[in-house]
Amino acid sequence: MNKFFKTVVVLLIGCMMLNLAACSGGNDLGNGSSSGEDSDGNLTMKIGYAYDTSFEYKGGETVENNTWTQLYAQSGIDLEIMYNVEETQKDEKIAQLIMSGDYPDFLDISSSYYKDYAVQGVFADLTDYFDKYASDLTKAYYETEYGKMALESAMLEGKLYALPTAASGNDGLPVLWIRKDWLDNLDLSEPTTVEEFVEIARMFSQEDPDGNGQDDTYGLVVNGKEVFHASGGVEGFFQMFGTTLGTKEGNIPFIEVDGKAVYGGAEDEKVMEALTIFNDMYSSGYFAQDFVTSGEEQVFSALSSGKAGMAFGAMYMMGTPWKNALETQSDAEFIAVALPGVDKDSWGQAFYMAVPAKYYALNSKHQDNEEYIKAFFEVINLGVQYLAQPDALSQEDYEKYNGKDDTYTGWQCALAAFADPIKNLNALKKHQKALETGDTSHLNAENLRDFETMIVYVDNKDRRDELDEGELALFEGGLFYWSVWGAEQCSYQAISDMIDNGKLLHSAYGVAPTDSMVEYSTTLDTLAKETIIDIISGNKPISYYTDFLELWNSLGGEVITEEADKWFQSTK
Amino acid sequence: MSEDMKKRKMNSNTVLFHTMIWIPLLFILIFNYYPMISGFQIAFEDFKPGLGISGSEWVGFKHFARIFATADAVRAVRNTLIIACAKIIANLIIPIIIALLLNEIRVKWFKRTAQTLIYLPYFLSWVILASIMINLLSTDGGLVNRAIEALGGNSVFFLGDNSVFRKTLVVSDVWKNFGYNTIVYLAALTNIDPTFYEAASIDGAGRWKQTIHITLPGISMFIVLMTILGIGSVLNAGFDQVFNLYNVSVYESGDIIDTLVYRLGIQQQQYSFSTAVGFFKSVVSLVLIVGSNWLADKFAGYKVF
Repeated sequence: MNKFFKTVVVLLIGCMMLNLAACSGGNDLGNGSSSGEDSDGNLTMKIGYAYDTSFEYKGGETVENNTWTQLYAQSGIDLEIMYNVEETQKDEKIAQLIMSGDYPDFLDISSSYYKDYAVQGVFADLTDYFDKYASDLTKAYYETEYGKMALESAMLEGKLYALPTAASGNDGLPVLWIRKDWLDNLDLSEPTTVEEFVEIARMFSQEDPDGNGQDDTYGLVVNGKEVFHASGGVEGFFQMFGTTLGTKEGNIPFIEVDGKAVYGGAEDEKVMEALTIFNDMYSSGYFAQDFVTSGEEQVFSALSSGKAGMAFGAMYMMGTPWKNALETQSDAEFIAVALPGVDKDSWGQAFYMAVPAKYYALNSKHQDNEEYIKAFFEVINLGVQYLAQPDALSQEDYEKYNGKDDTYTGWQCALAAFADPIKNLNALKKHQKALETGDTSHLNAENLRDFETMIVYVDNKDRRDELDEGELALFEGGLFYWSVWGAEQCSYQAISDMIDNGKLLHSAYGVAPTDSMVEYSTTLDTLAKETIIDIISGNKPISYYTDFLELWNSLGGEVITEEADKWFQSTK
Repeated sequence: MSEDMKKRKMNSNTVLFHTMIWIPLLFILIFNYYPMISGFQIAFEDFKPGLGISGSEWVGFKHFARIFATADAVRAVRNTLIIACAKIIANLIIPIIIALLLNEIRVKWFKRTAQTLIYLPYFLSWVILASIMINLLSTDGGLVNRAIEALGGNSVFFLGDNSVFRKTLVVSDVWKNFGYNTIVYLAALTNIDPTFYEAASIDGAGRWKQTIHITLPGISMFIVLMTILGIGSVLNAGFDQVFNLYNVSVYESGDIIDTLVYRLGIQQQQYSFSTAVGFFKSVVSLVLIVGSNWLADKFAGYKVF
């Protein structure tokens, strides 16, 4: 018996040893590539991808084989994919890998975390290598207005740890979307003042704008679940009054008042005026009584089903609701207008903030390894060359690296996704001119691709029901471009109007958020959301807003306002 | 001499057995306890991913102090306790009643069908149930509110009114889970010796008396067990459910510890603070489990451990 047990024990221990050996063997294999070069002499770079929920590879491309991986391989860089996750999980994934100590060589960091990681020594210092390895195109990119701003935001005490994407605030400006066919049915014109806006909301909810004889419409749809959101959020409403309360891409908004940087909602008189009107609209039933439960999904469905006639939102918001609306209401038409202002002469003031979305950095373990530093800049240079210079590319190259339906996945496969920050604004005039004259010679590759899709919509406007599935997909893609650039009152026209008239509420803080800003932003944002919703729905009186401001300051708002003002004064 | 030999033999046997138990124990220590202990350090540090656990600055109880300093956290603790207690009580009483009622039914097919039907919602995830509920409970043409209005009442904003939101949470949670819990009690009921009932009916006890004096004492062990297990999760008010159903206007009555930690910790990467909250939750749960186990031993003479 004794012997039997001994045998069993020896066997068991043996098994475990084998297991352990197998484990460590596996690890060795994993680390083996750290020598940097593989069989074909290419450098192996560890990287990660993050993608949208709706993203998919096109034309049979895969994460390992696409036009960009081919381009990198030609330049002597092979990719080793460490993670491939959804966009919302990216920050968490990177944090986990950094904690484990084995993180990608090429990092794509969100603006909120760039500074923190840089201070912790996660990134290699690139200061001395920029001149040496950045291509002329890359240098030129960082000498443009927005490029310079972006590069400055990445400088920490004179040192450069990352190359950011240049960003303009144009794409983030909210506009007011309206059902044009409803306006026509009721013989109304577009609102330019808050008063007119409220009147339209009233008529839309009470005067049967869809003419079906039923009281089944609302003037406005409000995203009360997320509150501050690009689809139906309340930002646009408050910006009509020249104030803004909610975070934008995770950043608390600061604006200039009397030469100082203050919280976007610090001017309580303006905010209270806005809240009074918002609360009136709620109690008069101009938007749904249960708006607090509607998120983006419900906002879209209210617009698609012809339940609501107006929404504040981003310039790219209407593609989905509009195309869905056409399924049941063939004459549905949406227009975008600039934010109405408090009185006749003033406009609304859309909040303008340009924070680089992405910072591209190199793992600090390659600080002294020029091979990797060179490869890092190669990735950056290729990104700038093929993504940020659409005017300089042939149609074929453009489509290969930027994407074409059914053939090339395009820019999502690039490690460094640069873009010309004002290309969308420039595209407006080009598209309008091409639509007017039919001449497409002045369009660059990107514009041409979009324009051709848009034409599918324009040509088939009246025969949507006759299209087959493939044509319908193009038609709907074209409808989206039409809503942004094509229509007489498209969203970029509204944005262009706001920019040309200088009626923007400029952010008074332009660099990556400080530690305290990151720490307090959720608490303060939650507080702002709760307060706004409580006041709009009448649970708290309008005057509660002053209590909110006190609370906001005491919960860290005062500290971060000082930090913002310090930066603001230093830029003067 | 022979005694001694026997003892030694026993010892070498036990040594073998001990070796066998020590290996898995060692694994548990290394892979379960060591990460747990080093993980909890995060709660006492200003943890920065780039610096690692050993490199981050030690700040002692700073994050624990913050739990009680911010109004949000105090509110979340309060909401968690209220919602979880209500759920524990409701999830205890209703399944017992249903189990007793089902037990009295003699029509087999009806009993089986009812059991299956009430069990069904248990298999749906809250993500799905929540979107169904948002539609059902909408004030803008939702089925429930239309029924209330048809009966002459005023429509109730179940998911947006602080005075009813918690009740909505509790009722929907019971609705989802009572089928499962009922089955646990039904299983316990089959354990009761039928001769007790025969004896009781001979002594002239009716149905009601039998329930009070035989059925309930017969399943009391299970009731105590389920309660103790339930009390251990008193600080888990149900993240899935609340997260999918709540919105800004009911943070006041519905924001629980887990949703707060999610917003702060995961969305804002405040690892130290969220670990501190998790640590606090674990300690309170441990105290409650040990406490309720002691109480159960004292009053019901039953121990789980």
